[in-house]
Amino acid sequence: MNATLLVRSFREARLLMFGSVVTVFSFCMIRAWIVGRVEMSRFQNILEILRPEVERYSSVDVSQLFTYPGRVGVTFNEPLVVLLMVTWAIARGSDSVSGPLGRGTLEMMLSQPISRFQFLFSKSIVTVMGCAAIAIAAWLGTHAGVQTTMVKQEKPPVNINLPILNMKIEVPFTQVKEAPVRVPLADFVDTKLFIPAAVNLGCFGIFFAGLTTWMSSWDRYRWRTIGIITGFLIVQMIVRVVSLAVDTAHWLKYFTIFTLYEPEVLTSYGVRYPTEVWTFYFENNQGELTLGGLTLVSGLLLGGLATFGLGHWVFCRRDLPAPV
Amino acid sequence: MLETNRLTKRYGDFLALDGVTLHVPAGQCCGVLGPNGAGKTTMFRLLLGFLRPTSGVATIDGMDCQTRSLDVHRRLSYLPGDVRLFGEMRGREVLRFFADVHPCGSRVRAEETAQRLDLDLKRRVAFMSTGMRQKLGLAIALSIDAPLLIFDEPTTSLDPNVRHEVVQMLSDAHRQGKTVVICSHVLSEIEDICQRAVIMRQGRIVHDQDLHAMRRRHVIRGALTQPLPQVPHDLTSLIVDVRQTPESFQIETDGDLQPALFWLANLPATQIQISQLGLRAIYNRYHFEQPEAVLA
Repeated sequence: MNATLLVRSFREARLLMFGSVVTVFSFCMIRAWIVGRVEMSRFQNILEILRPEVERYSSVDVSQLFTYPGRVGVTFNEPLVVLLMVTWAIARGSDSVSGPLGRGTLEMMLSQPISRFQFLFSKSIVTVMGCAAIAIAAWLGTHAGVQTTMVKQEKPPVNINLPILNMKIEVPFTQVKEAPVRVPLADFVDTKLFIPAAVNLGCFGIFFAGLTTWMSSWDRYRWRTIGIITGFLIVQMIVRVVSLAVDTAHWLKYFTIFTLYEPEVLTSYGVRYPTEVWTFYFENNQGELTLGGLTLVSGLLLGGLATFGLGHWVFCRRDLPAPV
Repeated sequence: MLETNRLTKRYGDFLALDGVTLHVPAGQCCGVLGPNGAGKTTMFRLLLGFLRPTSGVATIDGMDCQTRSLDVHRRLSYLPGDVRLFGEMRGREVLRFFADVHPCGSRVRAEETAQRLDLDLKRRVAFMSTGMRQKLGLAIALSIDAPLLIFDEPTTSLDPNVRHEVVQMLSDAHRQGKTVVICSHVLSEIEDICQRAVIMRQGRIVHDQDLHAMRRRHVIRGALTQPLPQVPHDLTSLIVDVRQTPESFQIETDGDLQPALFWLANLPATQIQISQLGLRAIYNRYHFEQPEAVLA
């Protein structure tokens, strides 16, 4: 590993990395704060009205979304978070080969005693580090938001059940006068639950970075690399939506990478099956075999590493034309 | 030092380099000439391992340019025809980066070279003019103390003062025993710096000229009043080419002119001009005259 090259790669990526990290941290913090601002009972009412639609498009049980961890966990599936990660991955991945080749800076660089592998590897390391930094910032932002947010807590009067009459009656004088009280959101949400979601986000970024690096490694125009990957992303999103919306097209879920990006599902595993989060598959409460977090994460990670590998393989063997 | 053996590069139907065989011994300064598309840059890119040859072999210091490109790059300093560097960096930072990356690089030498080329190192590359970027590229390439220099059009976009300085620096490098291979469209530069000129056309080397030998050659031109007499037998080794039309003549000689002066003085001609055969005349033969005439 050439330290000078690594520093140079970091230097050219640092502004985008810093901007992405700050934005994702701030967004996740604000998102947790917003969760605290909307009262649970009102949120529940809204969701109940839209329950059939929400059930169709949600990967997790709707009841999960009535809980604070479930609502905060949705942060990792927010378009802005996904978009920031994908933007980083595409921007850096496309700048691996086709970017400097098109700009003409690759020629002077590779005329030095630097192997093509070394050159691309130093760029890939920085790209992967950026994916990790964005994922960590998303978790830290969520953690900071949860720790600093207070939520209103209703204290309803105590009810008792009359067994024979099957009735509920309110115990007099048990209504708390000073209610609602404000309590920390952290009392309801353990942010460790979101670590698998953050890992999933990081691996999602690595997958797209690897794919973009591969496309970039044989291309000579950066705009074309970006176009191909953006097109791929859009098609994958459409396939995902169609697979959820149309019952007969459910099989399409096997053809979209978004099947492996399920941060809410991983959060719900943390709540309902805490010992099964880091397994390849497990049997859920209904006795069905379910994919574990390890399958989702390793699927994305292996896909990312394989495409990074392919990118290096292609770049080390291709002709490098003169810049246009 | 540099050797190519039947080096060929084909892009589909287009033959960019057609079986080029070239040997540049260590310490020689060789100029490569030819119009755009003649294959000069393709040959350089094959030597640097940027392109894979369709067939043939290129070696530098005995090492294959494809399989041992890293070792090859340690022994050379390359200046591309179109210098493009990192726009967000300042001149000084770029110099330092390349000095650190190359084992034969030196920050001090790089800054000295930049100073000699009168380059403002505080400016960001993105705000540099084409000429300034060329100077920066030259400062990088000239500061690397490698035994082989491969420069593709080193004086493009430079003003006459800097151009002169660059020619001087290349001559100095050659005097220090370095092997220099330059591609240029400025024939006078090649004549000034190089010992040898290789002329390329349509992917082939069509002429290999020893410039020391060229400097011994002369061209005598004039207007004819009568047809030229037969060349005397004792001058046939000196007079290598005679061309005439009803109105004019051109004689080319190779060697000391003194034995031919008496014969020349008595020719039935007026307006006689004697000039040293320049690279321009040789170049023109291969690029402006009819192919049949060149072959003849």
